[in-house]
Amino acid sequence: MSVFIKLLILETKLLIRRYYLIIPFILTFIYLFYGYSNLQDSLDNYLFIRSSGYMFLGVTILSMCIGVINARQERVVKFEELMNTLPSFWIRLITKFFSWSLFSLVYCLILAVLCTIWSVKDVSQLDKYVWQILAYILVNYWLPMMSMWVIAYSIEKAIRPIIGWPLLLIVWYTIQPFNEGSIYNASIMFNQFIEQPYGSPNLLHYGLEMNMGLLARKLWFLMASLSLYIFANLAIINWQLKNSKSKIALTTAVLMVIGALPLAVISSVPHSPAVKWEFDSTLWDKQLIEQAKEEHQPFHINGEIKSLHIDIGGKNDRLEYNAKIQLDNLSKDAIIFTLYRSLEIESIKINGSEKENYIRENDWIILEEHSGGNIEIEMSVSGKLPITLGEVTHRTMLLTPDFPWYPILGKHKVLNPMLTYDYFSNNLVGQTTYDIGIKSRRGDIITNLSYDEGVEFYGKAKGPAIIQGDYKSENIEGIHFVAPTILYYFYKEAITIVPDLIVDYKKEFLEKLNLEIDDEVFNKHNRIFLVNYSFQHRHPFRSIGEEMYTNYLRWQYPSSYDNTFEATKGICENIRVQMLFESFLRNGKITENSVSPYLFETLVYIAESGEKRDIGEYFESWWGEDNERKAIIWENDIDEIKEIEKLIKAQSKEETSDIAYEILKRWITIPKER
Amino acid sequence: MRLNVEGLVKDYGKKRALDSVNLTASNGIYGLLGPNGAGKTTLMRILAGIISPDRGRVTFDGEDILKNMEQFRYKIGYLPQEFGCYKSISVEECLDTIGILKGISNKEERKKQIEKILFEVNLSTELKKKVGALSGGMRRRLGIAQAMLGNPVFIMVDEPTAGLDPEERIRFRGFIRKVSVGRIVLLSTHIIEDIKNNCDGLALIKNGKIEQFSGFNDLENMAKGRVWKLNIKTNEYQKIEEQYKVLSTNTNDNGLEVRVYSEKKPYEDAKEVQPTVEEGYLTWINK
Repeated sequence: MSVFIKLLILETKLLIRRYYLIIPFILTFIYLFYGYSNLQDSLDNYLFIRSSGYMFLGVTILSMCIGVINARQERVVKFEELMNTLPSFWIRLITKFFSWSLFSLVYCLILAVLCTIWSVKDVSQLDKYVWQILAYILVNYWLPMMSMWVIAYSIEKAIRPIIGWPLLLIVWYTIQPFNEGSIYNASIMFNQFIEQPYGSPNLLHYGLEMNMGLLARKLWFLMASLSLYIFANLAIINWQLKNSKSKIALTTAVLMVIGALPLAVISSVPHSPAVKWEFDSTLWDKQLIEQAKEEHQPFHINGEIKSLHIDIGGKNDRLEYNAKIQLDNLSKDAIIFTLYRSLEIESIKINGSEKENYIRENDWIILEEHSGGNIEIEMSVSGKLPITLGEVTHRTMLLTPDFPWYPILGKHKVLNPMLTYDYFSNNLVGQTTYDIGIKSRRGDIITNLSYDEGVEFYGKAKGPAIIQGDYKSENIEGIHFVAPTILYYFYKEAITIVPDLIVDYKKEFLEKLNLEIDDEVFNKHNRIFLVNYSFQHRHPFRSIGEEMYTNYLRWQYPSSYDNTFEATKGICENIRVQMLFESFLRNGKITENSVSPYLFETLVYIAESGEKRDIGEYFESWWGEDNERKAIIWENDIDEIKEIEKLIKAQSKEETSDIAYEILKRWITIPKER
Repeated sequence: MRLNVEGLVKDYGKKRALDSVNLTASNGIYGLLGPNGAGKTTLMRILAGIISPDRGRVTFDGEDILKNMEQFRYKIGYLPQEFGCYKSISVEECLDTIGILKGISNKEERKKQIEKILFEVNLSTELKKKVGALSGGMRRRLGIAQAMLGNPVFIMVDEPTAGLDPEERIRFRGFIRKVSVGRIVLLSTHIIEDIKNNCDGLALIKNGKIEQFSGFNDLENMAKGRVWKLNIKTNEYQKIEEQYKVLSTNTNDNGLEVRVYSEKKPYEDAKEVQPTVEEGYLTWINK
């Protein structure tokens, strides 16, 4: 141990005395601060960290330079020959690697401290960020820094510079993301670059990327580098003087190669959640469309939900929960719940007794033979959800009340087809609020029941919402506002104007239609959730009673506005039509066709401008001759199609506008309960 | 203590660097003399455990050191042909590091040994000086000092006086004599002065082949009956040089006194003389 410590001190001294190599490392901090100063208005806590690609390139080059210098230093001062005759050869090598690891660790820790200081706006949330940043920097910087030093040292030791240095450049090129696309899997495997924003720069709530694939990618490379380090040194020392330590070293190197192989294989496929989600959503799309096309007869249940208690658990992308539902005033008819089909029922109890004979069909659970009146139903549910319907990952969740991730009373059609291969869901038509209790075994969550963050919640709502991730939840002048932390701080002052803006939009729209409509439409939203809809639903806005869910992607990068209020108004204006769509159609005014949800927004633009835009092309592409897609159109669509044909044939702007308003008027005034 | 080298063979590709080398040595200084490229450094590097032979055996007190090199490293001191240390560290740090690598784990013991050896190599005043600031001679002495650390029983010095001025060389020879007590010192050189009258044993090496001599007389005797002294006029020198191998010349009042190497008496007036070590060496080299 004393040899190790002494050598460590010596190596550290040698490293520190090379101040000319330390200076570039210090300059990287200044570079990062420059990035932070420029990007801090971009409303992303981590953008400056994730945008530090050039810094990574610099740091890896520096690591390689130091590796080469370390390998050459003994040779240059003619110390190598003597050192090779001295005992403790392997301890010296371990110490060299350790001293570099220590130096690079110190560098990374300073980097992590600086990034934490620059990222964290609220000291109370320090623990939420510090580990993410630390882990991100250690995995993305520290491991490659060690690998690159080891590779450079080994190559410089074993190969002449005329071959070794070009080889090092090739290695350096190989680990960069420039080479993506050639041999796809291999390029992912070798890519040691900082992990780009979880594969998607827009997932603010997800924090910094950390996944098994990323860790495996960096680890296999380090292990392979270390085995190269051992092989190179075995090659240059007296190979034939096989001693026990050399044999141990050789065995270690071989084991590391064997250990690195499965990690390399693991890392050869994308693990970034965003990439996976993209993949999942593609995978699920066809299935969802098939489900949307299924015939459906809605069924109303006599009775009402008094309360729902959900104890939620599960790991990673698996959702597990126990639900306890109190139902009152039930008739003796079958009770039907809607629960999305990918979730499996583990068990059902009615009034404490196990219920064996229930029917699970498509998205429904049918319970026959029960006493009626007031009963308590307990359900254990588990399964995975398609990302297009509900986000459940190891660190984030977005489960909204309008989607039956929990048992919703009644037989609803979960997915309704629209003109495109898109879907529209509306499962809470006519739903009133009831008591809801939520317990979380997945760490702190946010719900629509109260503005706290925690693991236990009680309140009233039309259905439970669960939000988890890098969000902040607060009560701002009576509005429960939830948003990714950085957006929260930007919008918290101005968010109170949003409910009034939406009401104004609706009033203005109804005036144009010359319509009077029930007061419910004018209820102000008092729960505003800026959440991740990147992979869900095509609308950036969803209105469920007094709750509004909107895709924070649309609220990002508002730097073109002078202040928060301007930014908020501007963004609301941008999504005004979607707000109108949701306000009128999501709240029970949906007609049973696929045309209205799909063309509502286009019709608003056409009505307001009198310009047909590309409605003709749309129509042709979706309703043209021999179009197989006609198959998904509902019977009701035929009437709507005829109306749209009239619109396309309109001669003037005024006529176009009038027809469009007429269609819209009919759509929002003919409520058709399913 | 006894070092035994038996049938050592080392090839570098097609070139045979060592060809069935045998050598024995016990306490004292052993000179390994040979021209550049003869195989001296190869032999030294094998004995120091830097490279391994293709064939052969090396024992020290009966123990096969090639098989137990990891343990034997603690018993050897080695000064390579070219020695240096990190320039940014001090003499003390350099020796301290080497000392700890040689297994002197006790700090006090290390300090004591360093001070003693530095005194012996006349570097006591340079203890805190950076290695980079030492002169060539000082650095060579530092090399000897490091070889002495840990009280090795077998010391190898490869071309130790290369680059030293005459005063340093003389001091070095005295120092080597002093440290050889109770040890085997193998001194490789191509400079005869380094080992003349200073070695207890001698081995000559050429083209990878070695021949051991019990003393310098044996080497001198190699040339017995082949070294002749001639007195010639200055203008005759060129003719003599063309015909014979001239070993040395001295000017005198009548012209030149020339010592030549010849199997037979070259001239009538040539006188056979007692060969020197150098002449014995040349005879061996040319045989």
